Amino acid sequence: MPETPITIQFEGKAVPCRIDATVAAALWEHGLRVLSHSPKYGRPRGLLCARGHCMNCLMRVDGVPNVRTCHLPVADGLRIERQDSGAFYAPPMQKLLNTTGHLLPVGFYYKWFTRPAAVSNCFMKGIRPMTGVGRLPERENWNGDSPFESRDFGRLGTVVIGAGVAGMTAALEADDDVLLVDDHPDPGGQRRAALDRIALNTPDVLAGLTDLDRLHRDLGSLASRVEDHDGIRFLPNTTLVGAWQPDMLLLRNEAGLIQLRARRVVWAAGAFDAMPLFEDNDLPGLIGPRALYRLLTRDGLTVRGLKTVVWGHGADLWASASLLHASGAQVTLALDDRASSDGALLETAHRFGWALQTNTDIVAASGRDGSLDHLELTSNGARHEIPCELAVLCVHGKPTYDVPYQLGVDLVLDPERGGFVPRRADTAATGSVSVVGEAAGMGPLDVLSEVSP
Amino acid sequence: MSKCILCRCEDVTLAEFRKAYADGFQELESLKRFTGVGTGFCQGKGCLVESALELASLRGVAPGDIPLTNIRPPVLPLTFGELASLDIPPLIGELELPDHDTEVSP
Amino acid sequence: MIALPDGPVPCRADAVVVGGGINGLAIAYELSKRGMKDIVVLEKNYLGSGSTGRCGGGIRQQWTTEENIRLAQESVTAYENLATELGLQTFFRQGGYLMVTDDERHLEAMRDAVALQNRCQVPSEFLQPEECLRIVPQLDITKIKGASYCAKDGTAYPFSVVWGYARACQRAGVKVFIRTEVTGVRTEGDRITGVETTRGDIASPLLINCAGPWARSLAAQVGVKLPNRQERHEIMVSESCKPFLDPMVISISNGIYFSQSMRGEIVGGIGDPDEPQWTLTDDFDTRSQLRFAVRFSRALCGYYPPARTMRLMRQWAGLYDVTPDHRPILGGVAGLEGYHHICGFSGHGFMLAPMAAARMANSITTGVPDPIIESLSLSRFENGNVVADAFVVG
Repeated sequence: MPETPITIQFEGKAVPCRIDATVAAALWEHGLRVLSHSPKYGRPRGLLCARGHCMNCLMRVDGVPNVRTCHLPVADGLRIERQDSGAFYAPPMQKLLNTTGHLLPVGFYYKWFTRPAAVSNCFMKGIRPMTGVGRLPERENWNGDSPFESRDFGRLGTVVIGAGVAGMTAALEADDDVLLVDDHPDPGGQRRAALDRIALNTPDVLAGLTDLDRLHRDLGSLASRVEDHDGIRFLPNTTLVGAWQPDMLLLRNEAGLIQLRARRVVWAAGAFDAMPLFEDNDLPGLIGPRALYRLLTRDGLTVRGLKTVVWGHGADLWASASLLHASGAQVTLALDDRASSDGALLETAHRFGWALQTNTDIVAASGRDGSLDHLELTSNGARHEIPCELAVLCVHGKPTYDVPYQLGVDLVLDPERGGFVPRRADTAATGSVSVVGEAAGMGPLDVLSEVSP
Repeated sequence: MSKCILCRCEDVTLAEFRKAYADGFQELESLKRFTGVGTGFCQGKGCLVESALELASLRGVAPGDIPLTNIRPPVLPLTFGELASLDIPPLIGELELPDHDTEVSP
Repeated sequence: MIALPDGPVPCRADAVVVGGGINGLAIAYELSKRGMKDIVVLEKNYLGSGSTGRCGGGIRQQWTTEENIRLAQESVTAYENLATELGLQTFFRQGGYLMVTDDERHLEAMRDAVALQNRCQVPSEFLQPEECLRIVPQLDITKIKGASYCAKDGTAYPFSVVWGYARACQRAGVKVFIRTEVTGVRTEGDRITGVETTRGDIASPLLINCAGPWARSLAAQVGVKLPNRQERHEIMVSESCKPFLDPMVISISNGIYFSQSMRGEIVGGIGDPDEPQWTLTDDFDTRSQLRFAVRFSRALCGYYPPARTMRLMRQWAGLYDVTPDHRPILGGVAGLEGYHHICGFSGHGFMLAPMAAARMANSITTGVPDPIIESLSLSRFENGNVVADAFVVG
């Protein structure tokens, strides 16, 4: 079997793909990293969240618009097109838009050309064609992937969303039957998959990072207990797509939609990657650690020989660096001012040949052909560049707040915990909803203290 | 010209957000609608926290004083075709006991 | 824009307007245009946070009673010039309204309505199902029996209209207080003397009740019994596509409405005949339900097949302030001097607000009676003057 047995068509070009790849990952490997352009300034955009949240990977697939290609498995003969390609977004036009963009201040379309009425009407007519993202599908594509399957699971006891440490712990501690849901194939989710890959390929690395090693073993033992537990049903490769009061949830996986009502919901879905703010922070090639875990363990991305940088602090920094190393990439570690200066950690970095810088801050990202080419940082005052095609930015994740909010949990903005979190520990459990783990603002290693020995 | 992007979906830069604040939009609900932050395809997953923190800094208040804007279902966009395939759930009033006075019109 | 208040309300005003939605801001603006000074608008949340900001923004002239048609006509004319007058775009786009029906029994009423509209100089036309395809080529006409269409109807963006009026108010010296709630109304004998608020008391001879769904409970504080009841109506917005749909499409068979906004998103809703109504409380439930998403999707895919692969992005709900005949309640009440209300628009307040505000402002400042205001006054329910419009959807 050839390594890349599947061929998709990208704007007329044949792209060979690995069998387990997503479309976006396959394109990325082939050097096709600009998947779309931003609506106002035409800025190049590429893989970012790998989770179906953002709009960067929206492309037209077999005539259907706005398809999230970060989630779409490759299939032979798939026709992929960017939705906004053409001369309008060629580099000279982009330069023009980016330079003159400040002449179109935010909200300009509210304030300009209001007088006289005829001009106002003309202006409205004129800007209308410039709005909107995808184009309506052609008649033969109106049905999309029909028919759509849907199942009703009825009224369940406890539903736990997220099978990381906190989710698995909650499932094991529940006193009724549990439906445990995760978007990864196995209990332990994306972090366990990432740590498994590191343990498999470079066990010495993991041994040198004792906290991650312990996390890995705990994830493994929790996963075994979950798999052995008769009262826990694990639903893999399944995403929660909607929550409606009082207790209605909608899940989605390859087999279709699942409707259910839950007497008790445990929200353990972790955090979003937080992307820091700096110049050109939206270049393709800048991602967060959670996207990295998914891309490398589930979406079929390979990074052999790729120049990468891991910037920031925390357990996710070390896990990302190790995962990249275990996957054959070249790693440069750029620690920020919040990173631990634990000697053992730095020792591990040196031992495995990761270039290391401390006390850095990102000033800007710089691109070539629309994709990341290097990072500009300051380090102890001195400014320098690190060439790289992929940079993983590791800061405290943003707790996933949308479902807790919709199910009535009282949230408050707390930057120390990464974003909107339950106001108090006791309000983290509101009637039938509780928020645990990273979704409640904890760090990835903090959740370990909840694990029973 | 390089830009620091606050909201990717609507292409709102940090500078533009600050300018809208200076223009008199001082709450997240109106800032959101005027600038577009949080109203695009990702519905704020990529920018609402950052926008709220920036607003707290501009107003000179504690982050805890900035309430979250209304986050609406669904969590992820669903096609109309998929939704149409579901059974129609009962009214919310039948799913729970109403705690308000209602009078059904004839 | 209206900043967060940093002090108390003024201790007196020539007029206090309660409600910072389109009705409150429009009447304040129109009063200031006619020379009234010292006007205060009070909004308990943020501007447009009530029904205005939650509506679909539709503006049409295709009604079945002459009065509604004339009011709507005046408003369409107002909207055609509103951006210029207020100095802020309203995103008013006259893409037309296509009103379809699956039911043959509606056809005669539809033809009659078009005839009446034409007599009022509204350029609407009755269409056979196939003729709808030249306006919406992707429409599935299998079940449609007939339609009416008016090219001059359209949609606008509620928040920009609200901000436009708010800025115009500000320029005219009107004081708009957001996050300020009315806690009581003061009267002396048979006249209004002021209001109490969470930021202090205001002495004023004039109180204009534009509180939408909360108008009923505000009116009750001065002994005015409004027959209004409130209903939740849900609405949604889809992901955006390049322009593909010109008109607002409405079905009077199942109550669905949908249009494409200036951002390229489908905005639409569908009424639920099983929705309960509130008459006794003002603690409303505006939560969205999966039920709405499913019902709407089925109806939308039935009329507009390309939508099957498009995505519903966000759903929310707002309140209709509904009167027994689905027509607004304007004017004052006998025996209470200084009190006026502009409420009960039953789901079409956004489209009628400019007209209602202009007429009410005229009436209040000149004292000249307005026959339309009189026919829409609260007293009509006592007189039995209740003729409901047939074309209410959403």
